[in-house]
Amino acid sequence: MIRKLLIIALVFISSVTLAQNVTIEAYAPNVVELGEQFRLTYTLTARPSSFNPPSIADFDVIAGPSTSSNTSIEMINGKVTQTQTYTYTYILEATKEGKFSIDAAEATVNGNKIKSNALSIEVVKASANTRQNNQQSTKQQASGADLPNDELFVAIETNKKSAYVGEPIEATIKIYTRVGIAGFEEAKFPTFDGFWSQEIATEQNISFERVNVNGKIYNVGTIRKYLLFPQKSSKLEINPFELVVVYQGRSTRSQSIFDEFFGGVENYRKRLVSKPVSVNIRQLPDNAPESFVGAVGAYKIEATTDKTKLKTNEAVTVKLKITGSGNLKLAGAPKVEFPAGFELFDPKESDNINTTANNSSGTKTIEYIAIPRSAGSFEIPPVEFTYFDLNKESYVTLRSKAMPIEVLVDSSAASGVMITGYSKEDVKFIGKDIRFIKTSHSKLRPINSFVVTSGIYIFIYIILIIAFLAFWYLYSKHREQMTDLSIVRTRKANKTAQKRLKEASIMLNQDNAEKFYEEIHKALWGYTADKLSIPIANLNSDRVKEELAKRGVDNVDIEEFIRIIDVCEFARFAPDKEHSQMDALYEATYTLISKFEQTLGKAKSNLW
Amino acid sequence: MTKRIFITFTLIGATLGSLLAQKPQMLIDKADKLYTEGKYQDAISNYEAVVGQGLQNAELYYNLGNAYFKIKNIPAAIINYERAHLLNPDDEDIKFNLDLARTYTVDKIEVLPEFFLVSFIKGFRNWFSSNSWAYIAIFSFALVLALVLFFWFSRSFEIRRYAFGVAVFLSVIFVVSLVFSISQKNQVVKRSSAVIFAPVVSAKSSPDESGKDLFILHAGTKVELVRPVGEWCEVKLADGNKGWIPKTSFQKI
Repeated sequence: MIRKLLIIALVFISSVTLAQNVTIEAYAPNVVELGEQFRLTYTLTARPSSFNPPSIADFDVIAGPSTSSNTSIEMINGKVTQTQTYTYTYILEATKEGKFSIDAAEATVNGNKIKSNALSIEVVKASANTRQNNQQSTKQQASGADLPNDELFVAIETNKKSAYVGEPIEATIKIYTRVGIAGFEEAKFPTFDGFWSQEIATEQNISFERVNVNGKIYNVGTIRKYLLFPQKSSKLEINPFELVVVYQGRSTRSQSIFDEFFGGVENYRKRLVSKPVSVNIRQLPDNAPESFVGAVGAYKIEATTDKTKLKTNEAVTVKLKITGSGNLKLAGAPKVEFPAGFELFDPKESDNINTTANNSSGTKTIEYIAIPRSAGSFEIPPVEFTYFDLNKESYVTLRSKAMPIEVLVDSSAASGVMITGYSKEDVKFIGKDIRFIKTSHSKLRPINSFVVTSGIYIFIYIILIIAFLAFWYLYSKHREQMTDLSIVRTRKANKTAQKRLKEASIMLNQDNAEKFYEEIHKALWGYTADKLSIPIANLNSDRVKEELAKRGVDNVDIEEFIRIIDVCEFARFAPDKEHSQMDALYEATYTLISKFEQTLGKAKSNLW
Repeated sequence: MTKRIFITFTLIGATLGSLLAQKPQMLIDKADKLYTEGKYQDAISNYEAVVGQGLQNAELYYNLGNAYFKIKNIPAAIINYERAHLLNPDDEDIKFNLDLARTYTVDKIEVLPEFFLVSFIKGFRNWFSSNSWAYIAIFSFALVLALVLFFWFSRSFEIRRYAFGVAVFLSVIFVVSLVFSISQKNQVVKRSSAVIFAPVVSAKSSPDESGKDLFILHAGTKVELVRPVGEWCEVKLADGNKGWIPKTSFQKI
């Protein structure tokens, strides 16, 4: 039951689709010669309820419209396809030269009005051959064996005469003929040196089309189509295409009645060689960004990761999809900058590219596989892909989104294995670049100004020297002043003491005890004062004792000094007139002074 | 009338003032900012404006070199690093970037080995810049003078002995640093080396076009200038080779 319903539904749907897909197509050769008869056909895929042909004013209608119908039913793997065609045919004759158009025909199918395509037909002057043929079909035609080159030739046609490296060029190999062709023999296709070539699928059978070339009508067939991607910048030459053609020509040898009757047509062979074609290939501009990998055309990119969270030592795949048209197959893989600590494997490339006329387009998928070896949050920076845009004639850089990746510690690897220590890794240097600019600036100086030769610098030296000399001079002068007096005194000390002692000895002889003690006291006191450079006013026994000790005088001598001074001072107020005592004191003073002279004189050279 | 003249003068003064207000330090700060933003070309023009005012220091040349490096003008980067290096021979960053920029040049020249004493002295000299040596010299000179005074006037034998020893040591330092300061200054002022700017230049055997080609130099190579003759200059490479190249093919450091 269900099956039946299904079948009914299917039939219904197919009939509906049929009704929907009804088309009407007009066909006529686009070029005809003056006086030539040709067919104009309208082909419908369903029976029309009405058909309104356009008015044909520019051509003579010789016959028609005649209708014919054709039905075919195809069964492939149980699938039934039914095709119906209805054809209206006119036979027309061109009567005037020029370009004429035939308006669209209108038909009504199942109540829907459909329109055919409009046609334009060019009528050219009839060539000599045709006229001759028409007038005198049996009489002389160029002999079939030596067919002129313009009757039958092959050519390679490119859609561009100049292109950038990597810009697709469509090259078509065509055959032009004005004679009947019986077949092709060996063909030698060009090698396209300097190009990367891709054949575009064309129809298996060569279909001829009438084309007007410089007022001559040729039947033109496309043998093969290629899409060429230039690989280097220079004038590239496409080497010629060679083909051996078997064509039909008028027989030259037999004149028998039968031959005449059968048309006298014979097959001939001719080797055809196309004219060389050259294309000027331009270099891409120099300012290519680093992420340019040779892609030319128009693209889009999309980058995805298969996971955003994974454990260490698990693989993550970044899939980069490049979609667009151009030389995608030749473009290299853009670089994906994985964070440090990811182990990279070679990227896997796969492409799905359709080559059609004009361009090749499709998708290229590149899979980058990486294994993180350490845990943490990472971000795979945006993938950059640069291509050369042919319309803008400039480089375009595309950036994908940044892809965050969280890497967790793989606990399973750690369990059961004791980690005794971390393996040390060398610091990895990933890139090399200059160090950053200095942000703190020292003082700007005029060019070629140096401290060492500046006036101020030399001036400071002069000042230093002057200060040095001035200090030297002043200090030594001060010293001199200070020392002059004491030196004189010191030098004279002994003399004065000797003088006083002499005086004392005179007094001793005169038994003038008072004077004697005074002189001794004066001699000793004055001597030490002069020798020690102590002003008389500051003189006292303590000070003298201290100074003497400082200058290395024996303690015994100092005691002796004090004793003599005491004796003298005592005697001055209570003079002891003992002659022998005075004599001894004189002797003691004399020895003491000479002792002092020795010690103090020596000490002087050690000081300062 | 006088008022009008006065106004005109004030206006001229104001315009001049505003022009001069483009203070070098401000230009440098602006250039540093532009560099950080990646606008290297603009940064270069600002740095060059400061150089054009006849002002310099090691940091300025270093930053200018960096900006040139970023726009891949390697010879210009090298010449500015070299200038910075001359002004501040002991700066690590300058040396690093100069060495890195040199790896981008084509010519690989085997440097002739120097006598170890010469390189030792040179290394010692490059510890400080000319100005630093000058300051060291003047400081030690002042100390020497002070110590001479101590030596002369002190009464203490100990002080005199130490003063004498230190003074002798310091006077050696004074002489050495003064010599270093002057020799570093001369290096900068004499400008006896140059960097090749022409992409390719062939060194000739004589100072004219007909001379035989001896060797080929590429942009970024440092040469020592020996003597100029007309439009040509004899240059010496680090490996000791000599040849004549046109004056237009290089720029003095």
